[in-house]
Parts: sequence; structure tokens; C-alpha cells
Amino acid sequence: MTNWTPRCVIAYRNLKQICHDHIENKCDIEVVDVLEHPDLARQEQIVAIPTLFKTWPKPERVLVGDFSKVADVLRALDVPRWLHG
Amino acid sequence: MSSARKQTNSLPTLEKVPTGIQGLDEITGGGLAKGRPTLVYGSAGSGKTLMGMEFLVRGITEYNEPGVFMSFEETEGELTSNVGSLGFDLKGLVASKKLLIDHVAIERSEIEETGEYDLEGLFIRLNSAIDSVKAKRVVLDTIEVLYSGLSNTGIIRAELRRLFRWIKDKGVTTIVTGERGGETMLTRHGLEEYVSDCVIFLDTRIKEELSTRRLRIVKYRGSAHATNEFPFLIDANGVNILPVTEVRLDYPASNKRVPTGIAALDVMLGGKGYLEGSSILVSGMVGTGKTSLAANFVDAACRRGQRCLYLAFEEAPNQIIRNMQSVGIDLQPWVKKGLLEFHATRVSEQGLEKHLLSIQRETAKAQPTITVVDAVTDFGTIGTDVEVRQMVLRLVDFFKASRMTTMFTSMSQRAELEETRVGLSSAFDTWIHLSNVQGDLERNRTLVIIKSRGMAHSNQVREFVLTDRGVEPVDIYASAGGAFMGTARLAQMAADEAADSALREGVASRERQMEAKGRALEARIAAMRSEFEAEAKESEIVLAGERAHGKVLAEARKALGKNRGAQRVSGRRRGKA
Repeated sequence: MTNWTPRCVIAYRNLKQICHDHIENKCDIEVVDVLEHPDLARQEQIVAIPTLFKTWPKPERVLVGDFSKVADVLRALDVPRWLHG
Repeated sequence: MSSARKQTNSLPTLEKVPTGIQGLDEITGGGLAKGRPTLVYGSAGSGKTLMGMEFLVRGITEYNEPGVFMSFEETEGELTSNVGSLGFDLKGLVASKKLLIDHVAIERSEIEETGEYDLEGLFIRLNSAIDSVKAKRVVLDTIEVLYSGLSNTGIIRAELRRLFRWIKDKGVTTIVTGERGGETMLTRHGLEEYVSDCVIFLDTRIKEELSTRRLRIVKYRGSAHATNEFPFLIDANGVNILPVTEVRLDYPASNKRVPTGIAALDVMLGGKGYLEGSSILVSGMVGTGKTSLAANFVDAACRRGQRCLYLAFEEAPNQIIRNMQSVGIDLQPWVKKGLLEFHATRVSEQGLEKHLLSIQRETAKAQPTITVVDAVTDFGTIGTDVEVRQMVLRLVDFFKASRMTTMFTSMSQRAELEETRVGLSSAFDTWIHLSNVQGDLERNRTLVIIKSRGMAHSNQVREFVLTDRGVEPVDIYASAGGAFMGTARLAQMAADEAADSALREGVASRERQMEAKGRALEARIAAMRSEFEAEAKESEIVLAGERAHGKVLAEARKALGKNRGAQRVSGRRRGKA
């Protein structure tokens, strides 16, 4: 995310909501302001903002957008499988 | 390497940045627009990436302007090895922090789009890259990949618009590459919408397995630019564009003359030969003597100690030398002395553009005063008439700008055909056409100067022969019946001679006749005179006689009279009778 722009704020809230609603908050969210760490953008191949990296459990996934499309988020995060073992 | 160019309009001069790419600065009048994006588009393999990279590399090595290459397709490793063959040391430049390569990987399958987003990440990366090497030049190659990686075209479009505004604000001169589009758009995704200041198209065509590359400046706002297509090559030095006539209309003109090597031909050309720095076309069918004319030209130049370059596409140099020796022109010693250089190439070896480039290179290396291209029509086998014509135009222009006097030979049947078929003749200053005229029992060689700019020249069709001094025009023989050549000439000469002598003979005999008459007349007069004299003498005698007789009679009468008188006296006076 970058500097808590309105979209980033919305995205964060949406993400928190999803975590609460669908995965019982069993998640770790690390927020990075790319403006403060521009090298990271290059390293992690970040182009779109906001970008979410799902690092665990596998498979790793990249999500971009403000997470307003909940179904897509869940699908991308592989929630059903993950949650129920 | 920027060239000074007069601006023909009153708009504020656009500041330009020289690219260092061979020919590009010339045709753009100084380079690319400073601080603004230029769109370079073309199909795959057209040279976009290379051109972009060369722009950056030369920017660093020649103009001390660091650069950033943002690559959306190739990785840093791939780029390094791809341009390695061009002698661009990317590794070194990156290490010395003059060049930064950022490979942007957007794998659609890995990304899930879950709502609204922007491409600020891209901006951040680009900004940080520019700042870290203090770049003045940027290449984005090829940003259209964003469309394949992300599905929200609306966002992409908006962000691109924002990006190019950002670039202008940042003040970096940027090359943006794009893929060639279809019927409705220049590029696949319409990049020209955002990058409209300067647009360059790289066109690659394959013709008979030989690829020809062309560059066209589609648009260059705020700048006068050349509008033609320019062939270009990618070789060991990078991109090479060959500029065209439009850019070079101001060659230095010369009034000096160059001897043709044939005294009578010099005379036909207004007295002194070809114009220095001019382009000469020698056309004619096989065996009409084109090579001999060229050989005479070259031979004369070498004698003057001038360097010559003979570009042979028709025959091998050894063949040419042998053939010329048979007409008394020995080129071998000039080759030995290094004054004459032959450069033979098989036409089918490469495409027109490559030929153009290699001719340029050979010429630059040899630095000749005179160049011969033998034969220009051979290129017809690797290009259409229009393509060959374009290539020849460029060649002529190149030679003229280098102030070289050049002779091109061309195989053609008739002078008129030359004009219409390929339309080459307008490019040349002097055009000499050779042909073999078929008479009753023989062929005679003729030469005619169809045109020669900048001088008064003979327009007669001259007969010539190939002697042991090469081409030798024969004196014109004109008679009441016209001009003649060959044995017809000799025949007419004889006839004329005979007629002349007959005339002379007639005059003489009349003179003789008159003389005889005169003499006869004189004789008659003399005869008459003597007759007259004889008569006169005769009559004189007769007269004298008659006078004498008359006197006698008178005396006798007198005496008689006296006698009658004396009878009275008596005969005493007898003694006095």
C-alpha cells in the first residue's frame, strides 16, 4: 500500500472484514508502505497498489485491488479448503 | 552530433536530445524531444528494444546522461546477452551505476484482481530507479504488456495517461516501445493516444528471404522533420539509418571538371569533361562498351594520382581487368599501386539495405575521388523497380554529399525505356547512352549524350570504336545525305570524293576548251591580219605601179607637148628630151 491513500484505507478495512467474517481472524496481516521501501517494490515485483501477498499456507498468491469483491478474495485465498483442514 | 537546422516555422524551437544513433539525429533534425516521450512501435523483431537500448547506452557513453531501462518482457540477463553482440557492455554500465535495468514481471495467472487498484507501484519503481542513477533518459519496453497481465483496461489506460504526464513532469527523455497494431490503431493498444508528441514506426518486411528494415517518422509535433521512409540496418554497431535527399539539399556545388579519359568525349561535354561531384549514368545493352567507358574514366583518374573505387556487381574484377586489357586499358598497375580498389559482391548475398550500407562503408574506408557502380540494374533481382530506384537515389545522394564523382552503369535496351521503366535518369546529372546500330552487314557502336546538367553539350549520335586506347569516338562525317557511320560512311566518303573530282574535272575541261577556243580565235585573227597585210602590200605595189605609169604618161605628154612646140624651132633641142 502507499501512504494510506483512501483506497488503501478501504482495502485494509475490507481485508480486515473478510478476515473477521470468513477466517475467524486467523491471519497475520503485515502492512508495508511501499513509498517508504521502494526497493521492495522492485524486489517483490509490485506494480499495482494495493497488492496483497498471501505467503502462507501454500499456494502463494498475489491479490491486487481493494478487496471489495469478496468472493474473488475468498477464492484467491483458497479459504474454504484452508479453513476446514 | 546534432545538426543545425533552420526552423521554417515560427513556433518556439523544440529542444532536442541527440541520440547518437547513426542517421537518426539527421532525420529528426537534432534528435528526440527533450523531456518528452517518443513512441517507437513495430512488429516483433523490428528492432525496438535494440533502438531503445542503444539510445540509453550512447546517452551514457557519448553524452554522459545516465538511463533507466524498464523492461516488461526480457529479464536483465536476457537483455545483456541479446545486446552483447552489439558490443554494448550492459554489465559494466550497470555496475558503474550509469544504467539501471528493472524487469517488471506481471504474470496474469498469478494475479487475482479483487477490486479497484492503481499502478502506483510502477511509478514508485520508476521514480526510485531514475533517482538512484540520476537518469536523464528512460526506456519503457514494452509497456503494453500491462494489458496482458492485468484485465482492467480502464485502469490501465487511466494510469498510462497519468504515467506519461508524470514523465513529462520528471523531465526525462523517454522512449516508449509498442507493438504494431492493426487497421484502426497504430499500436495494439493505442498507445499513440498518450504518446503523441513524436511517433516512429519501425517496419520489417521479408522479401524473398531477405529482410528489409525501414524507419518512418509518423509524427513529430513541433518540429520540421523529413517525411520519408528510411531504410536502416542493425549491425555490429547498432542501428544504422541511411538519410535521404530531403535532408541534404545543400551539397556544395562545384564548377570544376573531371576528364573523361577520352579526349573527344571531353569535347562533347562542353570542352572539359564531367562535372566534379556529379553523378553519371552510362546505359546500354550488353557489349555496348559501358565498362570500357568506365575503365577509361578510372584509368585517367589514376594517372592523375587520384584514388578510385570500382564496385563490381556484374563481373569479377579479374574478368574486368582482362577484358579491358584487350581494349588497351591496363588497370592492373593501378590496382598494384593501390590507386584503384575493386570491391566485388554478389547481388543475391544480401538485401538492398545491406548493400547500401556496405557500399557506404567501403566508400568511407577507401576515401576515393571517383567511384564506379557496375551495374546498377543488377539490383533488380533483389527488389522491385520502385525499391531499386529508392536505393539508387539514396546512393546517389550519399555520393554527392561526399563530393564524389560517380559513374553508374546500367543495362538497358533503349534510352526511352530507361526513363519509364525505373525512372532512374532524373537522379543523374549526366546520362550517356551507348548502343550498337545494326546496318546492312555490320554493327557500329554509337554514343550519345542524352543530357548533362550544368554545361552545353553535344547532342549528336557519335560513332566510336574500341581501339587500343579504349573508346575512341570517330570524327563526324556529315554529307548532304546526312551523317554516316561504318562502311556506309566510307562508301559515302568515296562517293562524295568521286563527285567532287568529277566536278573538278568538268571545270578543268571547260577551262581547257575555252583556252583552245581562244587560241583558235587568235590564230584566225593572225591569219586574217597577214592576209590583209599581204593584200595591202599587193595593192601598194599596184598603186605604185599605177602611179609610176601615171607619171610616165604625164612625162610623155609633157615631152610630146614640148616636142610639138619644138617642131617649130627645128630639132635643136633634142638633147633635152
